[in-house]
Amino acid sequence: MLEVKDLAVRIGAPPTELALLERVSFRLEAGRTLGIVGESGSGKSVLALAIMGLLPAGLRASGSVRLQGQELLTLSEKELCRIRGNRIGMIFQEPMTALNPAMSVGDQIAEGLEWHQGLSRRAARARALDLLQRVGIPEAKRRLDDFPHQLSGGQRQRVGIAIALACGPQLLIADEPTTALDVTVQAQILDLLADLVAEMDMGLILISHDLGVIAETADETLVIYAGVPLEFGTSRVLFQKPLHPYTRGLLSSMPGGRGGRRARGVRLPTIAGVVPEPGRRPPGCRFAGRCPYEVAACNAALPDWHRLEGSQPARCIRLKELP
Amino acid sequence: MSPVPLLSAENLARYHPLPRRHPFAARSFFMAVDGVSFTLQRGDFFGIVGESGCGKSTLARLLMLLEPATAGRVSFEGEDLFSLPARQLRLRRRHFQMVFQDPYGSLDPRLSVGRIVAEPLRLEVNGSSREERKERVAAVLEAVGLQASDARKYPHEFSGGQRQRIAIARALITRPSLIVADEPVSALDVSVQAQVLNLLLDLQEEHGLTHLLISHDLAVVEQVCNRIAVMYLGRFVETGSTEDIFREPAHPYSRLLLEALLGRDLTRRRRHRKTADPSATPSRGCAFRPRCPLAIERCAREAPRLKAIAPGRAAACHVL
Repeated sequence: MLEVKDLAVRIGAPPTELALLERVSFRLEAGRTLGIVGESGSGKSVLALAIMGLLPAGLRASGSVRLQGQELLTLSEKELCRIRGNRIGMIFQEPMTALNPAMSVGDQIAEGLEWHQGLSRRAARARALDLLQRVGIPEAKRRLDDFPHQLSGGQRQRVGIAIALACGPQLLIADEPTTALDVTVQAQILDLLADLVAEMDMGLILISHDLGVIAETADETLVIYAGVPLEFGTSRVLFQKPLHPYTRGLLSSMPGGRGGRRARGVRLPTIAGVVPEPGRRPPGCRFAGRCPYEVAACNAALPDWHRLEGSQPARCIRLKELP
Repeated sequence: MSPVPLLSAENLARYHPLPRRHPFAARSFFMAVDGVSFTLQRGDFFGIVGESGCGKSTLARLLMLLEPATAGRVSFEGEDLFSLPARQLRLRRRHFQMVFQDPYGSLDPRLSVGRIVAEPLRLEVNGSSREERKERVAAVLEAVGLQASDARKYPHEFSGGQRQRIAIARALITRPSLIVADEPVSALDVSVQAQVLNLLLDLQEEHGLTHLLISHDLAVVEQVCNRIAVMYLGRFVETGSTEDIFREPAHPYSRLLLEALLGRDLTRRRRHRKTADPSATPSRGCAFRPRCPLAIERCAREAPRLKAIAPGRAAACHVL
């Protein structure tokens, strides 16, 4: 349904050009959830913006993004407007800033329906009510005329989801949808998303820095580090048996992460150093300089995908020699 | 006979008046912190967990005397801090220091790291010489894993994790016995969180520091704290050793929180969790009642008080 091939996002003119994101390829089928996980600055939000054609001025995307066979990267802004909010729905991190504070939630949901599907105001409002009920807002009828500030954070995110779903999109992109929410509310929103994906047969791209959120919601997971995907696999396998040294380090440095819960006071394993900025990324493997298994060859070129017998692929030349 | 606790809070409260509904209506109040009591012994690593809006940050600010309390007492080494004259209090402040959540907002971008870290030294009685200050800045920067030469740099030259180390160095320079850290790692990336948590543990062991850690992240709290309090809408609903509470949470709210965490088994797929949205809070009775699966009729009438349920453990629930 969605096919991304060799997507890259660059900034600046060729001599001093910087790649924020490169070599991103994946496929997503309807009814499936792809998790994209990475630390801040890894390029995961840029990836979402590139797919939707919302890159800020000065950033250029290359490669290919196909939605049901239709290439999106070459479309004009006018054509993209017909796709965004219609065939691609978006959910943002901060529901308070993503919603219009001066418009009732009912009107915000109805807006897309009137615009894209030419529904009358009345029909659109009726549909908005259905959607509010579907996303689990109590007393939806009364809430229709409420403004965003009258809702709790979790309810606002539910409204955000209702807006994204309004036109029955084929693809839903959720960028950190639960990061601003409390744990108990997070769980509800993730449950809701999972139900909707199955029910409406959408593809969902779920972007998060939170490994827990990705592990429990995504069918497949793409791990991005410093602008390059380093590992890709089904979530169950990837979180149980991570291969790339970065994924391993990340999972074991998490309290309660890999290796289960540790005794109190035991020091957590750490990854040395910090995530390099785009201008300071190493030329070869992007994880070089922080990797405990680094050898000279790692700095020669960006590693290709390697895999062990029957395993998920990882971009590491030493995969077979790792302990 | 137990020794004098390092810090104790008695019935600490902070109310904010709400706007009147009409000119003759009675004043109503928002109870950010509503009658919290606890003690900290030397060497404790005490965690306070709760969701946003439960009052945990307000509680930290009350303990640090950054905000006036509406009622209650805070004693530090047996001395009532609220009754101290301002001058005396200022001198006491070097014994308890705070680390804030946002390492970008809590460091003045116009000051060099050396000046930022040396700033609390102004709280000391006999001013130290320039040379002495320089030495102490260097020592404390090294203690948190930075270099003495970093003192000449400015905050923007550092990453988030390093900035949080600077903030910790600033808190340590007066050689305090208590550090209150309000969400010290939640603004940091996962791979950096572990570094900062390990640093806090090292400081506790090497310098015998006492920590109060405020966090919404149960996994973090479980990793470093020996005792915890679970807070809900301004009150402690359960206190006890981390081990006990994680093994067998007593209060229904603690159970709910833990379920949300343990659902996070990275190797298992999600299962459905039934939780209610925290909506209207009742003005009478138990604040958790609308979300509580165990609520009985009594919960609507009177608010439960924190009472002992086992040695070293207490919970505020009528049903237990």
